[in-house]
Amino acid sequence: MRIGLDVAQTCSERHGCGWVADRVATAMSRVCPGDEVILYHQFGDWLNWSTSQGTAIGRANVLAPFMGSSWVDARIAWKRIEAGRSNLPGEPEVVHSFSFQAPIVGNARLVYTVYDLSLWTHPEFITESDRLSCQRGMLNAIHSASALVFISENSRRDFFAIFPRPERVRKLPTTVIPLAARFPCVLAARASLNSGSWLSIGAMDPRKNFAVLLDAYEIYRARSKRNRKLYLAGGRGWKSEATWNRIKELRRSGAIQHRGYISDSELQRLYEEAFAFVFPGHYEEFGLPVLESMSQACPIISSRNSSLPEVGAEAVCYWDGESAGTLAEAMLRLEEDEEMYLRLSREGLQRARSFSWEKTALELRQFYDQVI
Amino acid sequence: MKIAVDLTPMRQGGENGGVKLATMEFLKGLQACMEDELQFLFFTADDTHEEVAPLLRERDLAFCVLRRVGRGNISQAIELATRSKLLARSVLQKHGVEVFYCPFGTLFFGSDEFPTVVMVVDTLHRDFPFSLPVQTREWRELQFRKLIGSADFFQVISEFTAQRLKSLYNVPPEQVFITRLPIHGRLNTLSCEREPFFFYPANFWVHKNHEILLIAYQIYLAKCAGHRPWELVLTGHLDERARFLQQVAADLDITAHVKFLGHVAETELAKLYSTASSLVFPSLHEGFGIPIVEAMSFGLPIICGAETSIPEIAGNAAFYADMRNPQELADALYRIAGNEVLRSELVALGKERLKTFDFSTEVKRLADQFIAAARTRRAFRRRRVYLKDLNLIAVYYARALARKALNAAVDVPMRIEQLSNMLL
Repeated sequence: MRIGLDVAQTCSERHGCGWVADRVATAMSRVCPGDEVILYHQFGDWLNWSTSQGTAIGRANVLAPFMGSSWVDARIAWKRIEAGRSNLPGEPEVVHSFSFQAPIVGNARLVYTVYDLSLWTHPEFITESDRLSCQRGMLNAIHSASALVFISENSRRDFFAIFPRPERVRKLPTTVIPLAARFPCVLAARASLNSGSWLSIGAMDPRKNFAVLLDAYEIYRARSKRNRKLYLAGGRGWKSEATWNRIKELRRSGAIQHRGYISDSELQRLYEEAFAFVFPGHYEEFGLPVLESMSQACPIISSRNSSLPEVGAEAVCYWDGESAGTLAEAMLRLEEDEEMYLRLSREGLQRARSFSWEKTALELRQFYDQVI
Repeated sequence: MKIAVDLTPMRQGGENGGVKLATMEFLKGLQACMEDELQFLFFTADDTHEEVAPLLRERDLAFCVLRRVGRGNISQAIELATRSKLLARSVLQKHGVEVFYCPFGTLFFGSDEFPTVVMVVDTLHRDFPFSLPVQTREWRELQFRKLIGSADFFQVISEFTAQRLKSLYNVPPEQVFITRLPIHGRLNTLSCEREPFFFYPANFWVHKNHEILLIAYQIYLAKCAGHRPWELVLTGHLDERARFLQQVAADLDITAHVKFLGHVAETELAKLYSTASSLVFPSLHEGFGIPIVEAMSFGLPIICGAETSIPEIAGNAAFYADMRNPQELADALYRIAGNEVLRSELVALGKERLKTFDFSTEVKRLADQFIAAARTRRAFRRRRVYLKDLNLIAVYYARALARKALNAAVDVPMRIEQLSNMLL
């Protein structure tokens, strides 16, 4: 089969969509050596100034027709495709979009990734420009997609709650593909309470609920005998002024450490060294940090909303989002209950081992068969 | 008093949206209020010159100073800059105009010799920038830059817009006055049977948020399984975006229940208000929100969001929902359609609230401002303003032409346009 993959977002700062596209493309080319994988570094309206940072795979079965092409050339090519005057380069049978774009793809079948529905279910957590461009992409997909890929059951549920009516859309083939961690699993679960600090990661957006985490942490600090520090990693984010000021204040007292951008290997080390990972957000499209924490055998306290129970299953200590007080209690309990701590570490690691990009790529490959 | 009025930005039909309605009502109102003390000199464009005819009394004059050569801001401005500007100036001087009134918020003609009053209806291009093409955004910013420092008085249409003008452009409060737009009186109430439909009169601009309405309406239809749903009726100038939205409606399988009526004349509008069962107003940005007072006067319940000026106008007489959340809007549609008691409560609250609006008071305030403006002696600041303006205008056109050339070669996608804009 000839499979077209949208890797346009891998050309800019690689987070979220671009990162998923990169992993799927790499794994797909490896586990499906008999198929041709065509990478599109310029995709629909998502055109890049430069493609030099984009996913590059040195394998015989991989083509990259837009690698190195300017956005002007790409625009002209896509306009011709849109007008039906030419086919996509490489003539794929299936084209898989990873960037919220749903362009016209000639006689290929468009498979569209729906990451999450927060633009409609939680519009307060997204910027207006993102909201409008995602909305446009989703509505184009309603018009033209041949199949839908979700990254959690929760997203699939949300999607059909928002589109209960259109007959064509309800009949589309759908699947849920789990993501996988960025780094390999550690070899063994933890054998005792780790001496490290609490860890939480993510940009300081309102969605991540850092305000409640800071409240909880202060309650915890007043009551804990161990007095572990809190390590925060993530950028400034959006609408974060108040949270940011509190973090600065707490940093001065030495209780909190904060880092902005961190590399993958540093992140892996943070999970490995942390006592436990706390993730009190309001909404997650998948919950990758939970999975990554599990892969390093680091126990987790997490919210129970959106897709989080799917990824965490029974291997996570859930907090139901009632108050900072109950979150602090969960933290204190984890610190006291060694048995629970070890169980979470063990079961988490076990669970993390069941996720892999190769597995995801194979599942996708089977799904493509179903689509054509 | 001699007042020159710049009506050149006026377009045929409903393209200008509420601004055109407001302008016409204020002009009529001023004539009724000031009677023979008032003489109007209208500047018009050729394609809408005829529309001014009903306003012309014996003493008023209308000068057609603009031949519209094509579509778009550039052609309009080039035309104005080269041909009509001098003509308009000589008219202003010859007739001893006392006040220059620009109800469409643009200042084409040099205003230095005459006290100038400008109506500003919103600051959409700053508050909701991504809803507009870069070109339009820059055009509006240019207009604002030219206004600030040149105009003497700013007429705004809500407390909200007054606040925005102050915080975005630092306009001193003594230069700003508010005249609200309760212009529902122009529509005659008809005694008709109510029919089961939601009504939304709005042009298909991005900030009017039709996408969410269509998605929400589709959810509402699914909820109605078993009993007869209310229909959805939309009016507004049928442009390219309207065609996109018609496609969305088709994709959502709701075409049979949604009517796109296009721009309608006032009698037809009055008929729609008289027969509709509810106003749904999902707009995310308003300077005032004329349909709110119209719905109140026609006894319709209102569903709207607490965005920008809307809560200031609708007060407690509306059913509020988050207009970015289609499920919440669908619930609101369902509740309003299914609950007659709630509807009549809202209608009663609307009638009560409408008593706090009176258009003749607003016209009086405008007339008083004109009298005050005519008394102000202008400081002679012409040259400085001119240089600053020229610079702004030059930069604007250089960018616009570059963009135009690029767009002619390749249709530049939004993302690249935004990236390139940062570089330019």
